[in-house]
Amino acid sequence: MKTVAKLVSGAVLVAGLTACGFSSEKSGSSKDDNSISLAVWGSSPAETKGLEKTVATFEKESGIDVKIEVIQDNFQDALTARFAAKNAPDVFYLESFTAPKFIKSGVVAELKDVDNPDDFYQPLLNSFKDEGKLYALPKDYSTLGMYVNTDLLTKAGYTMEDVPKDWVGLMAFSKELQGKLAKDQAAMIFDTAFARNMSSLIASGLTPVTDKNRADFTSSPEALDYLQSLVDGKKAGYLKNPSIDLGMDSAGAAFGSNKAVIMIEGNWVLSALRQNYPDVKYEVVEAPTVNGKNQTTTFTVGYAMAKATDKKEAATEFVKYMTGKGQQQWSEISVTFPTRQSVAEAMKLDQNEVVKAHVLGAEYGTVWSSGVNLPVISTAFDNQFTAAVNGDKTVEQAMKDTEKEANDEIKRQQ
Amino acid sequence: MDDNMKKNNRSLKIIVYTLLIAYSLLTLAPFVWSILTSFKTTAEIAGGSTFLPEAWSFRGYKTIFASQFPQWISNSLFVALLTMIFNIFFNTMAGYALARIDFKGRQLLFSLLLVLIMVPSQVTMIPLYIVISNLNLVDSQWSIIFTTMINIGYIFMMRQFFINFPRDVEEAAAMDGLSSFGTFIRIVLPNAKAAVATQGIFVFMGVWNEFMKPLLFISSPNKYMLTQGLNALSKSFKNSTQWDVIMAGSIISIIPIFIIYIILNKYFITENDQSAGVK
Amino acid sequence: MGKKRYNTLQGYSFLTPALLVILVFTLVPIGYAFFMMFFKVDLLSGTRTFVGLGNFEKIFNDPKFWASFENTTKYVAVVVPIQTILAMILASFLNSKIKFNRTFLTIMFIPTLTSSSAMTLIFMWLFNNNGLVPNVIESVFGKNVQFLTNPDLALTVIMIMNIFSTIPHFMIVFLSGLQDIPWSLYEAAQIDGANKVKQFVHVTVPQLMPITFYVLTMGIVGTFQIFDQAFIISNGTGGPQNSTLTFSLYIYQLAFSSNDMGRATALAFMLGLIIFTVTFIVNKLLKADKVNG
Repeated sequence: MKTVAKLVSGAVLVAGLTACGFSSEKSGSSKDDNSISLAVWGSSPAETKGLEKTVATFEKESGIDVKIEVIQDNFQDALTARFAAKNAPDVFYLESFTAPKFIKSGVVAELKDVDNPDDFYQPLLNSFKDEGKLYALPKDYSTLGMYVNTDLLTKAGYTMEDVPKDWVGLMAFSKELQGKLAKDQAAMIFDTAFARNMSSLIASGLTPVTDKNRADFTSSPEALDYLQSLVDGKKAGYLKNPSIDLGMDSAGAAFGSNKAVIMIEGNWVLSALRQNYPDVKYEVVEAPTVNGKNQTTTFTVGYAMAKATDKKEAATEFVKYMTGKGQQQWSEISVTFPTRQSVAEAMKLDQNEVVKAHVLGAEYGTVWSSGVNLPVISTAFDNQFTAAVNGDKTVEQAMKDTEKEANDEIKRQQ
Repeated sequence: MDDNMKKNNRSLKIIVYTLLIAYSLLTLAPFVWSILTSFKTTAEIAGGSTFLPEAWSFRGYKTIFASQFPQWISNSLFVALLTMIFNIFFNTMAGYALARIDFKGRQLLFSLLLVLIMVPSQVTMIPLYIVISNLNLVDSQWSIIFTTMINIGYIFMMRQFFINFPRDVEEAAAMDGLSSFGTFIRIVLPNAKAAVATQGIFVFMGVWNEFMKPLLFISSPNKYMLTQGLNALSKSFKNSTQWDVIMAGSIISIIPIFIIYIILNKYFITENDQSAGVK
Repeated sequence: MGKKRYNTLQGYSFLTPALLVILVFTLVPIGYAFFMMFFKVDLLSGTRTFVGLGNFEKIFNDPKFWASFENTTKYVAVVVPIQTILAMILASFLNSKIKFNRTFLTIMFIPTLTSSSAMTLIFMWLFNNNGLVPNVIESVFGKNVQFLTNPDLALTVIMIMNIFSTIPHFMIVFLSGLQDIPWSLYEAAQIDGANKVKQFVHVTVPQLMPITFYVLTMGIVGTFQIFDQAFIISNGTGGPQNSTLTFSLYIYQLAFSSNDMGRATALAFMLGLIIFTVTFIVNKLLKADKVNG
């Protein structure tokens, strides 16, 4: 018995001591007045390098210390946990998609007196606004463009001129093209996710997220026609999903290994294509017009500042620097697109044949962000639309169900 | 034994061997595939359908060896070994008490413990982070050790093992004047080798592969656990992964578990005649 | 009287280290979560409003709850018996006096070390519409079967993945349980004229009951909480048409896409209750824990 008592008290003592001894390095707001913490997610080696270099320049110019904390995965969960524990970073990456939730919760500080705000691409800036107030500054963005595998295209007997610039024409062309391809090849890669189709639906005249923050998927016949064209394409086999139909890891992989002629993808595939598929020959043009309108989806990430930070001044200075004076350095090293038009001009992006199509999209693209209910609406769409694509429901029924599922869930949240 | 039975046993034996060999091949195939895959390029892995590498590539392994990999391995080893020792002692003690010591509230306590493993972790993760944060354990390896040093599942497992444990062994020990703790250390533990070894390897594997906790609790690269470090290395571009690094990393991280397995292996199957006599 | 008190003291001192850690790192977080289920919670800002049983009412009115209930129950009902029986049979094979049993054990154990990302890649490769399995089926039966997009088959693929990856784990547990069965019991049965199959039924199975109780309980807990495979196959949506929506995935969606932690915890505790009830009933039916005094 004595031994047990000794062992137990020993264990408790050790536990207590270590708890005190190893705890001194608390992250988050450090006590040092001249230092701020920055939470980012893990990204490509180029972006990591770009961030480190630009932060170093900022530290030299301002005398403010920046502690970069990399959350490798599940960024939203980890960030939520840190806010819940009142251990929030001073500055953090904020995705346009989740921005409304953070802003509505009142944990993000408003950013005032931004230098030359008109210089930013306005759709990007607007996605971080709520009731006229600005809560984050965009650091970079991606848009979707149309990638065409020119080797496969030529082999099938076509040239780039034959590839239609509008959606309906493109579908007809894909159908024709598929006839000249093997069974395990796709004329075009497609994606049923709402993130990839929202802008086309809007161009078709639908307002999927109404101004009352409700879902609407039934009021536009043109939008249903657009979705029907995806279902038809999948059924006839000229539209294929890279993992489900071809067993490839991603659209980029299918495209890179000559399994697909056309894909509509974001500029992030460029570096993957360059590194993993150096032999594939391709051209990039703007995403096809839908219903006669230019459309693409824009994904953007901004720097936001926690409202609870006690280093408001230093943090604001950092955010403004990274999206202002420091932006060119960041964009050049990280190979991302600058959010300020003046920087894009300085970098001569409009003269770059490969990225031009993507950069043009920044002005008209629909930013992937639409109020606090977008995650719910998007989940409902993804769940229901796949049923239509698989042929288990009509498009009309699937959209009715999407609308109901989303609006019921939104009601439950009230 | 009559002839008929012998024949029956022989045909049974053939069935057993066939099934074992078939099942072994079935489980071995994915493993062999993943070893081979670690020598493929990312493009080939993402493309899917090859078995042998088209051209042997060592890029995945090179990327890993060029990183802070030795530091991560030693972090993971430190945490996993310490946790394994804590678990083996404390879970076994607790399981033993729940099975063999007749104390007040035992049944209730056991049921309560079972209830605790039935609450899914999705909703306790953030509260757990709050606890860790309040104890000032964020970004310290002790956050992982403290939260994994006890495992109710294995307390439960040990309890089940001890239920059938012959009572006379303990009684004999008590007669010899051993304290109950002495009995536990000198008699019970050595006689429960198979169960303790099973627990040991599972705990080690569990901590070694733990993903969510390091991700939430640890943020400095020099304190990363191996899983976290490998995850960081495999990031390449949005929506695309460096599969060669992931596959090479998964092979490398098997090695320590395999070593532990080799060490503990002899306890999983003891010689049959031996186990009959001692108990 | 003195003996009883001594036992109680002894019991609790053996349990102290475990209980201490459980108190701080398991009970406190669960307690914290427990209270959230009566509130509408915004974790980010820390604001909460008391809603009483409102969260439960909302859950019962959600068709997704019933879909996940159906999927998960189906899943548990198929996976748990199969994995338990197969693991037990394999373990007793290995424990019988066969040659190379250690080699077999090693070969069967190694695959548990195969990383989950590799397993997912393999399964996608086998079951995609142009993959090995559908192609073989098409050439043999002349029928085109789509595993990943067909609601019923998608869940089946997840089941196979799960059974495949948990069997070796439970097999080792059974195996170490078998080590404790005295050989004399088998010898006695042999003298009575029992063949191997009869020995298995009359000696192995009853002697293993405490371990079976463990394997069943952990199997039920694990399968009711299935998350990873469902998340990977459906990309987190639970589709097509909620066919791969499990309880845990639904909890995750509530917590992170609906941002409703209160409802997520309410569901989590309901799941806990369901698991407890099912475990209780199953074990009562099988009398699995009857040895326990």
